[in-house]
Amino acid sequence: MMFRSRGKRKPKGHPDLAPDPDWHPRPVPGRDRAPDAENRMIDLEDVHLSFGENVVLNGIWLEVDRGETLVVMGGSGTGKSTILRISLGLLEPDSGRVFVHGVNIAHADQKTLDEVRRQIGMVFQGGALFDSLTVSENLAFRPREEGEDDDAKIRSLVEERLSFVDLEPEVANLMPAELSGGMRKRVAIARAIMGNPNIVLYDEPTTGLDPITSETINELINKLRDQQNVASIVVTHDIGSALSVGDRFAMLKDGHIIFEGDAKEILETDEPYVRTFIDARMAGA
Amino acid sequence: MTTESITRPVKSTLVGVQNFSLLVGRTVASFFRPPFYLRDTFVQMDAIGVQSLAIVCLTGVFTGMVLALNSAVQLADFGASAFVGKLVGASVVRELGPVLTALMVTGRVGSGIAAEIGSMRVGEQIDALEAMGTDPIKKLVKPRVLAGIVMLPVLTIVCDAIAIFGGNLIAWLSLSQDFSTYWNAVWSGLYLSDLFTGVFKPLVFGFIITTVACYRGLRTTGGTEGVGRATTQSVVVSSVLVLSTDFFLTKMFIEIFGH
Repeated sequence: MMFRSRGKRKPKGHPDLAPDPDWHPRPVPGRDRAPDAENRMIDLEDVHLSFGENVVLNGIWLEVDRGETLVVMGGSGTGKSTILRISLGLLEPDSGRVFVHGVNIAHADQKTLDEVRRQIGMVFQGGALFDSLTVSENLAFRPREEGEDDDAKIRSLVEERLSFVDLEPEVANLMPAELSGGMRKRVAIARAIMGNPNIVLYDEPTTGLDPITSETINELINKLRDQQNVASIVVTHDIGSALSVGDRFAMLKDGHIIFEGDAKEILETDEPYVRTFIDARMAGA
Repeated sequence: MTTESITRPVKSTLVGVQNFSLLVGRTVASFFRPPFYLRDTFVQMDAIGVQSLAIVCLTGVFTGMVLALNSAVQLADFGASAFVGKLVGASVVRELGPVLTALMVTGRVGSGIAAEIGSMRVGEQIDALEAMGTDPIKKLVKPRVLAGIVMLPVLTIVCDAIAIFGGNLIAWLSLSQDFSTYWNAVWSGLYLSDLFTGVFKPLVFGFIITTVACYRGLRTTGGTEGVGRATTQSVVVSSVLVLSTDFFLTKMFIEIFGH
């Protein structure tokens, strides 16, 4: 490309991002083994966030290890997506610490945020594909931004990622407006994993999809965890999808985590709000 | 009337000015930092400049013609019809060319930028950019502002030229004035400083139109309704800023050049 004059970025995982010496990962509730700093990917410590008078998060503690999927559930407007945005540094908490692989990104500078974000892939609720770019250009966006100029290499990577999400190579030439809801989500997942992230965040990945397409997305989330060993946070109120992908579950209400546990625990819990939530969703399904 | 009903809009305006100033500061700083996205800048130069040519030419030709028609009638009373070119040239180059070009570009391009970036904001595409470690200021704002700064003066020069030719047409058809009389009058009414102000003003207007449009787009909230609101606000604020800035720039240039 004649006119491309972008500064090359540092390679992924450059040494500036050493873990914070004050960081001591806490044990996962209900789990016997000691916390492992090497495998702890996300740690939210006593995170508070308000928008004006509206308290959204009021002392959130959450942790996700490598190869684990944490499902965050809760009613509409309870701050589920806010947790993802804070984990990605798109929102700054009022107080508390947010560690991504040991690096505190709460109130971090832009350079640190940019570097940390390169370890993270995010699947937005509506896909958030760039309307003016083809599927192929959407997928190639991240590597090109990171300074990759080899067109053949990028094309091969795009085809590989499309194949991973079970899409035909021909899809690469389509515009986002030409994709179905399920295809958009799969392309969004493919784009999120273009940079080989260690962490993938999903915002309502199955909302608005039919049950069969939802199952395909669930399988993809599990495939990513099993094959790439990524840590995932899935925000959803689709209980079926949650049980398909989740290793651990957290229920959010009034800015607090009111329940945290595994699939067996959440299905058997007597906590009234969680019980009502699950029963209502099960009945709805 | 409670105190809060007075302080809230004041506070909100001050916060708006502060956020806009921050965006302007970050944008100017980004001019000197990579990545430069030259390809995006050329695309925007095409969208802002080349694609606005037709509307700017139309504006220019009719402005020049109307100006010549009106001045011909007024000047004829004093037997000064020969000065039509002088009046058209000076009015167009000093004021009408820069201001009318800026207003046309505000309507066509400013609204487009605000709507495009606003749609990206509500569709979470701006968040997606940030999530991939890309600075939206460098990727979206910088190319548009640079393109605005470069293309507005070019469009204004085109508008000025077409407007003066439009005036020439009317002088020839209505007053049977020959070309040399008209053009001599045009040149006699222009100073070198007019050419400078005629180019400097659109440069400032280009900066204002694009930064306001980008700011409104980036601050869009409330879905598609919010995009419509951002578009309208962008056009209104840019137009008012263009007109008010024109006054202060004119005042400043009169102080500097003495005419």
